[in-house]
Amino acid sequence: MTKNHGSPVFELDHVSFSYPGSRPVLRDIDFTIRQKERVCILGANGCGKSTLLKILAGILSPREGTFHAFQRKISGHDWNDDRFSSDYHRRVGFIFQNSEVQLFCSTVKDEIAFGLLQQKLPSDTAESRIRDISALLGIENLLNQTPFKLSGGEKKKVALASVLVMNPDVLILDEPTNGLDPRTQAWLIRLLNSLSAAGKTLISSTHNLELVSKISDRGILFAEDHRIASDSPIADLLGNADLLKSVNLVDESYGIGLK
Amino acid sequence: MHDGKSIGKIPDWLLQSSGESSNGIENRSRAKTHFLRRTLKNIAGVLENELYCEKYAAKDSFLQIIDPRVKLCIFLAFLVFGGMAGKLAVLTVLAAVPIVYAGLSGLAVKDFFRRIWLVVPLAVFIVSLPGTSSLLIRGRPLFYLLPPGGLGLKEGLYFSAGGLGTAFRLMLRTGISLSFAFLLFLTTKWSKITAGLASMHLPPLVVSILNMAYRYLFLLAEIAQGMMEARYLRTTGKLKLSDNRHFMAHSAAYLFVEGHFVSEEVYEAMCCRGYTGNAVGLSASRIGQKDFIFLTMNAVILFLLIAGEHLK
Repeated sequence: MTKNHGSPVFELDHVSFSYPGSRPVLRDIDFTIRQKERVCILGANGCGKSTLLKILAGILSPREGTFHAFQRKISGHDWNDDRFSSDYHRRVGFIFQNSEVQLFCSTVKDEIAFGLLQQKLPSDTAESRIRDISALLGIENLLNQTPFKLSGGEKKKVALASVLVMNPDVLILDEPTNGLDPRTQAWLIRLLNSLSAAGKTLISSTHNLELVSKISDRGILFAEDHRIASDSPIADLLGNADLLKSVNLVDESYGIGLK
Repeated sequence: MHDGKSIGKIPDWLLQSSGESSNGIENRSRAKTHFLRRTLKNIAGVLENELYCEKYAAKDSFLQIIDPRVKLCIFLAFLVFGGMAGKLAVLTVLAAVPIVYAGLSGLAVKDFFRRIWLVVPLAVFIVSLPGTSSLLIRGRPLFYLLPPGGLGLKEGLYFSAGGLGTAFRLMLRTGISLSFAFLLFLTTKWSKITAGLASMHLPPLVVSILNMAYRYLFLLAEIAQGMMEARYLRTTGKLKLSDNRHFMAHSAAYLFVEGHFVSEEVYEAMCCRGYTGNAVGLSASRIGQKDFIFLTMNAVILFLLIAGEHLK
């Protein structure tokens, strides 16, 4: 799709999903995401963005269609294999929209160490990685604090640290700037761009159209009928006001200033 | 029908200013919202208590520098001994130990004493008094509440030394248990207590559950606080007792449902970081010289107390 992209990371072929007893939240989804791509999933509330991210993160399995990750076909049974599950989750990091649910240990240090220790890394390696990642994110002074007392921005940083410390190949972010002040948002954009430059694949979902062009090159736009309405370079997508209006992502005032 | 584009006609009453109705203000001041205020205060108390504990646990004083495993073992030994000791003098000395430790650890001793001894142990003492009177425990009368023959009681109603001793023993044992438990929580961060429990071979799953329960207690307290505040701000009239009951029942149900959703998402978040059912934690600190000194010192105290218990 765009320059310098490697082998496929995720391939979805006619994927559909519905929660038990409710209408489909994803219909006939087809796309491929390659290594080092920066992709943004866009759409109105309830169009299925978060569900799609959960499928990519290995939390949910498609009801219909085929899902390949790292060029291997993934089925629901694969998650019963602890080794496969552990390896998959090491390679795919997921940052939840609500940082609260991601912080379940009693100190920030334990929180960051959680994923590393699941990988059975020796304590001293874990300690050294924790030191590095907390220095990168500027949270060294929070290590001995309890996560629930932190501010929204600090919680987001700890949630990021707890995922980045595992050195994932793919980073999935659900509404990454939700609840962040402008300075922390700018900091997060710089961090994501550095990670992208280092070769990580970035997949995000957001309503924040100002943010989209800063953290992605490609946009996958969902229509309100839970199908993909467009999969194109982000600049083309943001320039198509009629399309964005038709999927209820922007209102009539969008693009007036641009014309 | 709302099409998401146009706004329907705003009702006239919504366009009028509500003004400053003195009636409303009077009603507000008369409203019986005590239970909401009380509940809010109690929830705030839970959160405040955590900050209070963290403040003391972060100090670098006497008990704070001791390894949590050593503290757990010693306090447990004191608790077991307190449950078995019978002599009032021995129990009184044992009760003084946590107070002295609290002082040495930089805790506010008066506050510590008030929180421990003036609530539960005192209530236990008062509640146990009728049962320790001559109605159940006879002996040499220490003082009479009713003289012999009063109200048809041949021997009257009195407290014997034995009866009062039993009441004091109950009170002291309760207070000792609370003191050591409170002291442990005030001088040790929760994470260190659970790390200590893990190193004492408590199953990792139990330790994880303890950690998560502790963490989500506060998250749910915050949600509950938000609900109570929202209700309090919209309460301008009198609240009937039945309304209060309904509200509390609905709040409990909502918290339960919310807790369920949160737990599902937490589990998903754990799985996303490689959790497959075996939680692993960072290892606890090593036991050092100061821990051995503390252990020896307490072993001596315990030995002296045991000796005191066996003195005739």
